[in-house]
Amino acid sequence: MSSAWSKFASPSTFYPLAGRMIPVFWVLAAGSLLVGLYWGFFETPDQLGGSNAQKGYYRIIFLHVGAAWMSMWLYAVMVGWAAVGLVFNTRLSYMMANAIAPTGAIFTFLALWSGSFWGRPSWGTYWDWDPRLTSELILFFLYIGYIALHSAIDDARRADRAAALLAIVGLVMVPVIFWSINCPDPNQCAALHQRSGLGKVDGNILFAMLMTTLGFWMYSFATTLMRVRTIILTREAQTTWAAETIQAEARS
Amino acid sequence: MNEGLMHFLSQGGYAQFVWGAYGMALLLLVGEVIGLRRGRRTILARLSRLLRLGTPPDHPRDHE
Repeated sequence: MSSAWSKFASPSTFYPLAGRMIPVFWVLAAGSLLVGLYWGFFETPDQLGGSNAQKGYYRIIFLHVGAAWMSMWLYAVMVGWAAVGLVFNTRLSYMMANAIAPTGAIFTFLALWSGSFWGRPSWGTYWDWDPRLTSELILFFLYIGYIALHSAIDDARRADRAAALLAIVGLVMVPVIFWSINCPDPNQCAALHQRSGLGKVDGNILFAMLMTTLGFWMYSFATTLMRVRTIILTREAQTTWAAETIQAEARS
Repeated sequence: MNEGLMHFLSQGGYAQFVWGAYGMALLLLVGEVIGLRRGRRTILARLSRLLRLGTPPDHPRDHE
């Protein structure tokens, strides 16, 4: 068990493995996104009635929910790798955390951006200091802070540890975002974010939403692995295997 | 243009919101992949040049 783990924790073993996995994740991402977007735009009603009436703009949901879920999930995964790095002092764990951060920041920004484009027609405003919007914005700054702190420290190992600690402290924002709803009962007040069970969502909308989310997840695997491969080569360049790989790949 | 396409593009009169949201997603996600590919080529070129020159490519960041 421990020998298998340490084998894959070695950058020289992981580098070619990641290279083989990237195309698989691209195919899965493209397939899920195509199915999800087709379903979302063509197999769902043009507007929603009921207590929370929504016109055509509700279709932003297929982007918004997936991006928001990925923003929180990627942060949790990034913290997981950072914590493994701190506990076991494994180089590759820190590299994984570094590789996740930019993709996480992009999905956090997309959740905020798509939310404001939904909020304008639905709420009448692009932005409000609503608890969930505010806490999601703080999550965006945490990603930016992690990236900035890491690049501000010259020594890579110290940068790894300092940024890991910042990420771990920031993890408190993820449950805050999840539970930050200022209107638990839609009969009492109007709010865009309500406590909603997925079971109440129309089956076609739910399917499309889950497919685009799956697509974003597979996309995140692909970009994270692409990024970590470049990080591995940069940081392992003194080793023989990395030097040989660099020269072979620079020629091709 | 045919009616079905017009109907799709207009998104019930909310085209600027729907396409504004999806357009940004397309821009950032495609941009990220292009950036990753370019960055990789740049770094590979720099590292291989350093290796050819016989300079150990230890970036200042990698000193302990």
